[in-house]
Amino acid sequence: MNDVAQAQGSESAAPIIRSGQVPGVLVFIIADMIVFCMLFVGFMTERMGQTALFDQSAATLDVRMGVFNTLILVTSGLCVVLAVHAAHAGRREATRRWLLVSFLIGAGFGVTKLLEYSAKIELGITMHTNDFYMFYYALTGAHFLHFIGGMIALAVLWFMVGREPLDGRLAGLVESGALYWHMVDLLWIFIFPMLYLLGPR
Amino acid sequence: MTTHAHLSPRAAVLVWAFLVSATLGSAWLAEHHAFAGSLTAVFVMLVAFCKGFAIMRYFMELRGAPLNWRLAFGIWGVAATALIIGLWVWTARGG
Repeated sequence: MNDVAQAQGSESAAPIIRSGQVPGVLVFIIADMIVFCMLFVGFMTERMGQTALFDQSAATLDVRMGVFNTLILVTSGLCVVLAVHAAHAGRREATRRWLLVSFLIGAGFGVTKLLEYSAKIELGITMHTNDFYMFYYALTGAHFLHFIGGMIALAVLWFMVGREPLDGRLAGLVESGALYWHMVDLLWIFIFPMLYLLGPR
Repeated sequence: MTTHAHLSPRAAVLVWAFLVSATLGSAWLAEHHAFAGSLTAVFVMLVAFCKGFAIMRYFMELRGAPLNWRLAFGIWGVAATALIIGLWVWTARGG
């Protein structure tokens, strides 16, 4: 049974990214990224009128925490690439293993982000403190919701790969989930330097 | 139709190593502001663009995608970087 599933996986797993069709997940991803780009412009425009305040507020953010979060996301992204590779080769156990490792490493982002939020709130810094922090909480909060969505997707895929034959359809679903997870990574790659690193420290 | 093979695990690890090095390098640059001076923010955002490009091209495998998808994501990367850098420069020059 497993061999049949493996054979199906290797023969019919045409990567959705290369198909001539318009994969729904890519439409969703690019639309979402455009919305985030508009938020970037909103932040930079607001910064123009209050540069000193924005730079002063940005200097209170913990760069090491931001770097650590970036490393977590890119490492988790690497594991997802390896999961997609295994899925298209029809290797069920390897796919599940890489999805699980990706989930566990990715969970670290949630832990550090919550630690960062709680440290700020303990100091009395909230969305209402100033415009910089309004954008800080809005941008990182919107990104955090996408992160939670990605974690759920990884968990569901891990479960599905364990229960269903790893055929072309399921390998395509793994690839769709992976594309979404890379978007979470990609957005953070821009959010982190824009919020944390633009001003003098 | 393109003939690109899937990204091999070895190539994926190399892309990851680049992403890690670029992250550590740009954070170091930002914390040692004197090194690149007032253009630090520009360098840091250009590094972010390179990292984003690597993720799109290799991790998301857009290098094998149809041209319109490569263009859509490429334009997003260029636009996001150019807007952030442009508005930063405009502000720095007293906009």
